[in-house]
Amino acid sequence: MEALGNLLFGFTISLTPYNLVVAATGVFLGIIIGVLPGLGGTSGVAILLPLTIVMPPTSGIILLASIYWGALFGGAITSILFNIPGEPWSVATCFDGYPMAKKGKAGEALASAFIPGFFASLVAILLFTFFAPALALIALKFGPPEYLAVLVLAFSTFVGLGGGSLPKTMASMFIGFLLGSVGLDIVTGQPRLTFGSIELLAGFSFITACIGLFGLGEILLSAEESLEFRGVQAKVKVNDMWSVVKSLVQHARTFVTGTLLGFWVGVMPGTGATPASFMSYGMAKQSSRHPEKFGTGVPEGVMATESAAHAAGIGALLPLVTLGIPGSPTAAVMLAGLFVWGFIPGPRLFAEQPDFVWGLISSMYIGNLMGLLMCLLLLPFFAAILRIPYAILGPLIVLFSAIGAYAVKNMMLDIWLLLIFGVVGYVFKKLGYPLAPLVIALVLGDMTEEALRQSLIMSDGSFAIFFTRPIAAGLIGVAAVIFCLPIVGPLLRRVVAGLRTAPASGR
Amino acid sequence: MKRAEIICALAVLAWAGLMLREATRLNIGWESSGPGAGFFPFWLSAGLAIFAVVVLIQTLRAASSAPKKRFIPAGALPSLLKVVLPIAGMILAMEIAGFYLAAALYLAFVMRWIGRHPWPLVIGVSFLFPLATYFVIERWFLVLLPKGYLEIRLPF
Repeated sequence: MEALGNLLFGFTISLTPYNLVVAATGVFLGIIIGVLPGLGGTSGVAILLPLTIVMPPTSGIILLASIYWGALFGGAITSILFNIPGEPWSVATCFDGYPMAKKGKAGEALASAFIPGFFASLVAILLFTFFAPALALIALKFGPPEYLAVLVLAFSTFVGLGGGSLPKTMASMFIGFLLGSVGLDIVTGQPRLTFGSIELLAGFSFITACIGLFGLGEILLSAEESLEFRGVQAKVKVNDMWSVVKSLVQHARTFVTGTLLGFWVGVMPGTGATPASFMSYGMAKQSSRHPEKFGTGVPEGVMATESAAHAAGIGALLPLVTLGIPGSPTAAVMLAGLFVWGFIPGPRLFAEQPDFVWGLISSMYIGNLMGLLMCLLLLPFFAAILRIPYAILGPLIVLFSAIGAYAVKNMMLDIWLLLIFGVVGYVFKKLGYPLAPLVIALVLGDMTEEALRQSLIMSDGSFAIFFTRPIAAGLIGVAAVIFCLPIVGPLLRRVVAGLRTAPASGR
Repeated sequence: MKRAEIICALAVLAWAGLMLREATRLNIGWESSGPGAGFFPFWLSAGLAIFAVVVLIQTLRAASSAPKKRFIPAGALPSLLKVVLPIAGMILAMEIAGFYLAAALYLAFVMRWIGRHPWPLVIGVSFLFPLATYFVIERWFLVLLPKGYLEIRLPF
């Protein structure tokens, strides 16, 4: 019940007029970012991060988190009305949302995205509110070896659950770590990998990498498609909302599995809303009584995707607040924000910055409610944004990216790096090198190295320390199992497929 | 697609090699207080090189009967260059003339040349956007924007 009191205390912070305006601005900008293809939540949050430096940190995190909630709502609008995913996590929303819109049920499709999305967020935030303090309490007892074990676990999930090519995932992660180790060595203070450049002494800016890889890379990808927006006109009527609320009861199982799965995938570091949405869609299809109808415009399809994506978005902040480890690329940008505001991420945040943590948690309730209301009321406005010609929108996004990249350290070098990262992001995306491991390794590189070196100092250089402490050993063990999944997984699947007589109907 | 895979893997390999050489200028061994400054960079770049080689081998061994897909779809290269080159030009202009002038020129160029929008709109947007960023970003949020060699002499 202590959590309830803390939550109420949080509301005294997040309900101040200034923070309400901040949250509303964030959600509004977030929906626009979500609606625009070629500008994702990750790069959107990264571009706006420098602007939070002049704000109080609590308002800063509320702004960034609200952008995330807005983007989670906004992505669905583009997917359903234009059949172009506004965000990577709303790709699966297109599968059933657009066919519904074409059949004249656009309002119902949008309501099936917004309303289950909102309720999934609500369930996830409730889980967050009561689960996070307990986890932080456990994490407070962690020493450097346990921390390293948690980080190893985080990185093992990329390999085990990422689903991409194993060597490419590893290469991506190693590039991130290498970029992260550029600059002054944390222990000896020697310059590393700087090639004698003074500008590189400060290391690579994580924000620049994020905006470049995700933002500019996405713009280059959409450049070759010469986007044309021809959408379906739509309004969400009260009738649509009512029928969705009724069908929510009817499809309770889809909703509950989607939400819980999404939350769990979101909490697992480095995965986030995108894989959660695909997994949930696949599960809803497999467990449905009429899987053949999926893809032709069934509301459950939209519901499954959106509830998982929203729950994952909330879940991704849980390890960020309790352990200082981001659960998704967007959360990784927020972690960079914590450093900028002068906080040390980790379990101590709960004890030392209660107004920050509880202000953030309570603002999740407010932000998601605002997201739902804005989407329902201002839908025609958001859909109209896509009618702005790309020759105006594209350059504006590029200029905002340049401002975001420059503002962190006031160096022109960062703007050039932005372009280089943009090209790298474009090439990597086309060739299937996952980007999330790269950016998360870049932002967690220092922390990982520090944990490893401190542990080794504790043990006089012996690696045995990771196996003699129970929590660390347990976590390393779990990490080892997850790490081996890509090798063991296909074997298991073959065994399972052999046992089943019916062929597994995958995607 | 296959050629692009190979070139990319080779580029990653080359970069790993470069980092490896830079790392060996530091102590890559063990010091009294633990690993030396070059220890992690050395093993990270060595690991990266190994994974790049694995990708390379996998690509070369993959069946070449797969349908040939071009890395950049046919006809997409010009529209790609139309996006990349103005960005590069804009950054170059920013070095010389600072953010505002570069932004205005870049916006006007892309809107007129690629978008073929009417002149009043072109001039309006490319004038108003830098003005708005000045007031919102530089005056309100107090975030500095790039200053060029020309602007440094101006009084504000």
